[in-house]
Amino acid sequence: MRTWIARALLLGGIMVVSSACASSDEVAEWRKHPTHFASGGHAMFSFRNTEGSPPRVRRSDVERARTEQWWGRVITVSPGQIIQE
Amino acid sequence: MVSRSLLIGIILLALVGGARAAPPEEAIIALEKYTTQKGKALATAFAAQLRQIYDRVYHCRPWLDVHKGGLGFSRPAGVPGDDRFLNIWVWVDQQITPEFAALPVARRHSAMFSRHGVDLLRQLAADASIFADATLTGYSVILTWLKPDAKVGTQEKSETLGVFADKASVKAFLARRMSAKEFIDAATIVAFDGKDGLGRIPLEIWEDDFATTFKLKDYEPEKKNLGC
Repeated sequence: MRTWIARALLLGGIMVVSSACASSDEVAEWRKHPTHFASGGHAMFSFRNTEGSPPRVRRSDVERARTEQWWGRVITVSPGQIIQE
Repeated sequence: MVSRSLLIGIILLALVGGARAAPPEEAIIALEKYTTQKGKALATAFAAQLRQIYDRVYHCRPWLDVHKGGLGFSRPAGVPGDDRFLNIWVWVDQQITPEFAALPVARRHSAMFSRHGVDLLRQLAADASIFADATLTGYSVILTWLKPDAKVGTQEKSETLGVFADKASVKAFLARRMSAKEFIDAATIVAFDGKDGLGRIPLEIWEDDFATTFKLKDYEPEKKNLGC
């Protein structure tokens, strides 16, 4: 009986530790990737390319890329649920 | 090993938001929308500062979109009284990576706040005249982003985090005179899964210098005088 309890505790402990490690790993991995935002719009930005000069991305280009990629309305909180004016 | 296998997964690109950032006249709460004189007086006195905050976020943080009516002197919903907070509500335009999707809910909120919320708090608290106004209670940051793997029919779902804190705590936290845990304990925290309230989640804050170090390739702010 005592052995069974000890095994159960050991197994439980291992599960807790391993799940914590996985979570920490995932956070660490996420943090290693600074491009964690839709900079993927890169390819879609309308670069103002002129020959011989480097491309420039403006906020308006970011906006245009987002508009083109918009996929519809999102289920989200309404302002009245979170703030009052 | 877990992380490596996650990285191999398909990376979904998701663009969040109501298509585009609200223009300043829509993002900054209009004076006539304020329901009390206190809010209206603050918004009137600091109209120029609100516009500057908008411009800095719009041009210097192109991955954030200020929500319509998301910038102004609002108060937390459901809280009695008229405590006014300088608030900013943004959509975070983000890439949904498998490792982010794999995080538990509270860790996703923590990651978002650590990366974007602290930076926004710093921008809100930067103006000494706003801070000094006796009628201002504090600062608040609301972040909304796409919830990973949460499509309902054809509709995507978002997650939202709101953090409201008194101005002394914000200043002390930003100046590192208050620990992250003390700051969190003192703050009002609300979280939502889509439209559903999650209550107070166990938020953590860690160091993340993304906002001040990341440079979008070839990006050039249209306004040069913002010190981006």
